Amino acid sequence: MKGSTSIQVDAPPRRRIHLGTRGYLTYFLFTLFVSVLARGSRLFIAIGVIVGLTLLIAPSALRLLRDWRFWLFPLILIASNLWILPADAYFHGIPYAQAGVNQGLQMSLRSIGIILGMQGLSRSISISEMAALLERVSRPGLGFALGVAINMLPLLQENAHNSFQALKMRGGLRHRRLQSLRLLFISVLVSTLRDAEDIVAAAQARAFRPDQAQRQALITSDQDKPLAIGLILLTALLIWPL
Amino acid sequence: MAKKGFSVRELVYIGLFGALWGALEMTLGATLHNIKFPFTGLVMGGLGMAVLLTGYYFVPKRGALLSIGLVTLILKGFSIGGVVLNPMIAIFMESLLAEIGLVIAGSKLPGYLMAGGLGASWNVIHPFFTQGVLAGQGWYAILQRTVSRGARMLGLSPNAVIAVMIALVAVYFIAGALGGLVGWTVSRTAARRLNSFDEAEASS
Repeated sequence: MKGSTSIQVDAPPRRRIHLGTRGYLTYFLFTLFVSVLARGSRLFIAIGVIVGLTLLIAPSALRLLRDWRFWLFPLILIASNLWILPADAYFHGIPYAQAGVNQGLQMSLRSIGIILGMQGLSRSISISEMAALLERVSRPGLGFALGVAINMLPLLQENAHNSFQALKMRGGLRHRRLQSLRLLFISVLVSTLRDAEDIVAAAQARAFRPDQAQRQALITSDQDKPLAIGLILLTALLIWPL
Repeated sequence: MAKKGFSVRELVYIGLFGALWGALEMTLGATLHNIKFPFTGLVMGGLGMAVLLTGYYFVPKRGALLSIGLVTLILKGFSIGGVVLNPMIAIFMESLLAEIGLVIAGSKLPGYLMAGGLGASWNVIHPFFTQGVLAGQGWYAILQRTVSRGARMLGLSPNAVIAVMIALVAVYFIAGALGGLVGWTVSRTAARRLNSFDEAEASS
């Protein structure tokens, strides 16, 4: 259209299911419950379901599986279990415990399930959605505090850098290191507390009151409820009887 | 200001101390975990308690420590890195136990020491909960590992299981209580410096 401006936005991540905040939270709780509570062969099925669900809901979380460092932790878990129990089998002459292999494998699967759930949740919902969620489950204003914390991080970094440079120019940490570290901490704290006063002044100037602040709406989706019902049923199938 | 809730200033301070603890966890904590530094929980527990209890001086209300812990664990959850669930559980439990410590021993110096000590002591129980219960490794295997590492650190016999466990809890408690002491002194020094800045600004 003539005279109109167009805004190019990034294409949303390709997902087959679009959930709201509560939907993603349900997904995370599902991964946590079934990873911890499923036993025996049902644990393998549970992890398969979690991987499939993550592929549909939060595919970017699966990128973690491509990182070789991710596999170190499960491998260490399996390896550490090989010799904890009494050895009852041999592999090329090396004794190991067969029960340990099974136990290590189960531990690895549980950790993979929980990590995928956590990655899926943190990659799918924004920090502001998390703040809105926090407002609902805790005292009023904690979402605001979370926002302040996020804005404080670069300020902290800058203050820490400046204070460290000042300390370095006065001789650094060559003498009385503990005392110097204590002074560095106090210096960073005082400068950040002074910055915090500006945030307080800005919030008060806008007449912000935590008890009367409007709650940020949670993102909702039509698919949240069916997913929650489905996952509850699936959880029961995967963990019952315990 | 709401009677029971936090004021704007207190919320900003909760955010500040949450950011401070979160920054420590995301930088120093992540580095120590990645290089497999022995007894990272001892170091991070003591430092965390120092930050948390410094925060309590500026927000002396019930629920303040838990709120700082909540902000910290969310920051940790969104940080870059593989396994963040275990530290998140530790942060929550440490702040909860510190809150209980303040309820038990009051908000003076003994309360700070008790809160710090209780909070940091969680790190002894932490592997039993995360690896024993969540990962299903079994408590006996965790006990074996904890006792052998503890015995090595403390120079005790690995056969003296109870003595090693008591000594480990004592070491973590002392580290946390030291964190509480640092929190007690640092918060007062910082408040004095802030006041002197304010007075200097007012007089100029």
